[in-house]
Amino acid sequence: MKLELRAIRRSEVGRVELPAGFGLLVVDRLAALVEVAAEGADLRDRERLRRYQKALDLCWQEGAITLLPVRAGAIFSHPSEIARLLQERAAEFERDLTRLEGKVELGLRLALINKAESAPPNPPAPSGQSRGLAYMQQLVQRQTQEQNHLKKVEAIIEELATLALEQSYLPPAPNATFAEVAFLLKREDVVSFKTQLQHCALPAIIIGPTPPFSFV
Amino acid sequence: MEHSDTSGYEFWLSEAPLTDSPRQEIVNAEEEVTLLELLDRLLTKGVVLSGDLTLSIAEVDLLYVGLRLMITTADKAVEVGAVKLRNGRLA
Repeated sequence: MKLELRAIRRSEVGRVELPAGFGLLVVDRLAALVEVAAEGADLRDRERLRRYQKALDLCWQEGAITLLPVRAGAIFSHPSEIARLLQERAAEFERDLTRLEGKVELGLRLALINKAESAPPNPPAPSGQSRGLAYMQQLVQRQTQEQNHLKKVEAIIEELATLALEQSYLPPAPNATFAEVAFLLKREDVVSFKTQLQHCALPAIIIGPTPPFSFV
Repeated sequence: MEHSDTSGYEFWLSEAPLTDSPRQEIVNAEEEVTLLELLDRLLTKGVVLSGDLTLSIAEVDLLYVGLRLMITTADKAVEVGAVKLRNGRLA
């Protein structure tokens, strides 16, 4: 059996019911949301992910508790090791909890390639023009369209960023099919931000609101 | 279950049984996306706590690559018509 540290929160904000396999370890003013997992348990297991989602929801949505989510891999063999970690890094965690108090993350995936605007591959060569030249011209045209599309996406991100407290955006890798961006918002601003998103002219997947994964 | 020792911590473990709810293998597309997004964040974002976890982190890196590959492959398969979605599920 192993203990996986999933999130850090303040201890004084009350205890909530947790799903099976989860526990709360309290040290002074901090508390750790801990998952107890069997050796070799697969992180991709849907039931496990559902319980993790439920634990986050109970703490963060229903309990309105600010969480510092922890990246996968923080595995311990005994609760005392987690307690020691919280004690050693208490100042850092408390500083981050204060900075993120009442704030949430809203993520967006914006499609980058608009197939309808892209040129068809291997077009027939116009009369008097070589097939190779026609292909190169179509390729340049397609790349220009994709670059224009990316500029449009980034303009939308820039506009949305003015409504957020912070944003986390890295330019997409070459050939990426979507751009990913996360915005840090006050909890009470989420509804108005989502309303603003509806004016977005590009197809987007909205992720969250979630604890501020991208801002810790 | 409650546990504590002299090092000054208290540990409560949920008493809800793991076998309380039956496994749900069939999920709709919306839940699938939600869980994958959660997994993506769990693997790539959040507070990084270093320690003697090299093996686990190495496993996570491999898992992350696998996840990306799976998403890309599924997306591409739908796009080219190799598989179809019916009511939000793979048909």
